[in-house]
Amino acid sequence: MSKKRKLVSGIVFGVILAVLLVGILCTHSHEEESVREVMKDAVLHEHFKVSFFGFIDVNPGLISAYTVTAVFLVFALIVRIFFVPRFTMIPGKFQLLLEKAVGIFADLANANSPHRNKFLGAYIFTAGAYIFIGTVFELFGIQVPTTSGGVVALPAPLADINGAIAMGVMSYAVIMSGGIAGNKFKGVMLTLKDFSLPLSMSFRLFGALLSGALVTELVYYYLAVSFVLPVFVGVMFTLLHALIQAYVLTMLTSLFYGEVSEVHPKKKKRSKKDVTDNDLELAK
Amino acid sequence: MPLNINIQQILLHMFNFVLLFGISYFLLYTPIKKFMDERKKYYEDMDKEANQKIKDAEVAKNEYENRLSLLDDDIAQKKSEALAEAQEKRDQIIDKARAEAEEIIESAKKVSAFERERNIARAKEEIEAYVTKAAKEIVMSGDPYENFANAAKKESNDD
Repeated sequence: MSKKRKLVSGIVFGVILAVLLVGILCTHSHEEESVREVMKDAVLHEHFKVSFFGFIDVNPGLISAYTVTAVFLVFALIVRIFFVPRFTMIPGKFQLLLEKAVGIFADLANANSPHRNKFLGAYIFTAGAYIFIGTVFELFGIQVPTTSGGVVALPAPLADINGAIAMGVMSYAVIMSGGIAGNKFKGVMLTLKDFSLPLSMSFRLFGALLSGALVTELVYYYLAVSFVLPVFVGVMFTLLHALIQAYVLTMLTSLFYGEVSEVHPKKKKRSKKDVTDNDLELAK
Repeated sequence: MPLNINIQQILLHMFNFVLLFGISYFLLYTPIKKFMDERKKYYEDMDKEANQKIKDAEVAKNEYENRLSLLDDDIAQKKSEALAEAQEKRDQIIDKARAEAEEIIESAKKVSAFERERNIARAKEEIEAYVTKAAKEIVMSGDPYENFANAAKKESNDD
């Protein structure tokens, strides 16, 4: 190793140590709030409520949900007005990104429900985009005032159990609608057969997103170096959850949708003549 | 409710998601999907058209190849026909020439025979005339034998 390289390595090592020391000295401990309270609050959002346009006090997750929708609306309008009319046969980078996003969900819908997938494709595209953007939204840490006078960083919409339940129930309703469209009353029965689906979907989403938040909270709570490692842990957990949960929910929804909406032809009852003919043929 | 579950907030979340679905469906998913489908159809049509053209070209190629092979046969047939015709014409010409030659020879023979007969007849007449003349002169002059001999000598000298 050359002298210059040794010098650079030493400087980098020293800077890292100094930053860590400053972090240890600057961060205050969470002595006033136990880890149990932190965890409980992260799960239940009982203490920090946010006013919903002055009508009711709601969980911060609901505010996150509407904020995400507003951001999505603005983005969609800009894309629709300024980009879609200028789409070219050979796509540019941004067009390719949009087409890829739509194409992934359209292909997923087509693969799992080849017989009926137009509505499903749009639904899982929206759900996937909502879960992904909503989860990544958490990273921005937008602060909003609470009704109790403090501030709270807006969490992912689906880290709120109400949001997760809404998502699960709606996905189940979409699956049932596919069943009805494909098989009428039989479709309802096919969907009801998996009655645990809304529960499993809801709590899977909630649990997955919440686990990320809890791990990050724990890291924040216990680790002295709370300005280096949590950033990495938080970003990685959030991004992974965003991708994995978007994929899991959309994949499950399309899979069940395809299953219940598939039209099964009625089996013909065999007449005595058919039985005799078939038996004769078999005997031959 | 346990776990801070709130029906009103669930409904608010649902309302929000339905709104989001509407936005996404009308502003993003449908226009982009439509564009992608149209492009896919455009290239599929282009591909189909190209395949059709290739098929047409192959059919045309086969047709021309067949025609060429037929043309070769045709040429060979026409060649043999032409040869046969030429042979026939040649034979006809030769036969005709032969017939004409025979005719010419025949007529020449006739003409020569006629000429000969005419010459013989003329010679006879001339001989008769000479004989008559000589006889007259013999009769008119002295010794008939001497006159005849002199006259004959003179005649032969003149010829």
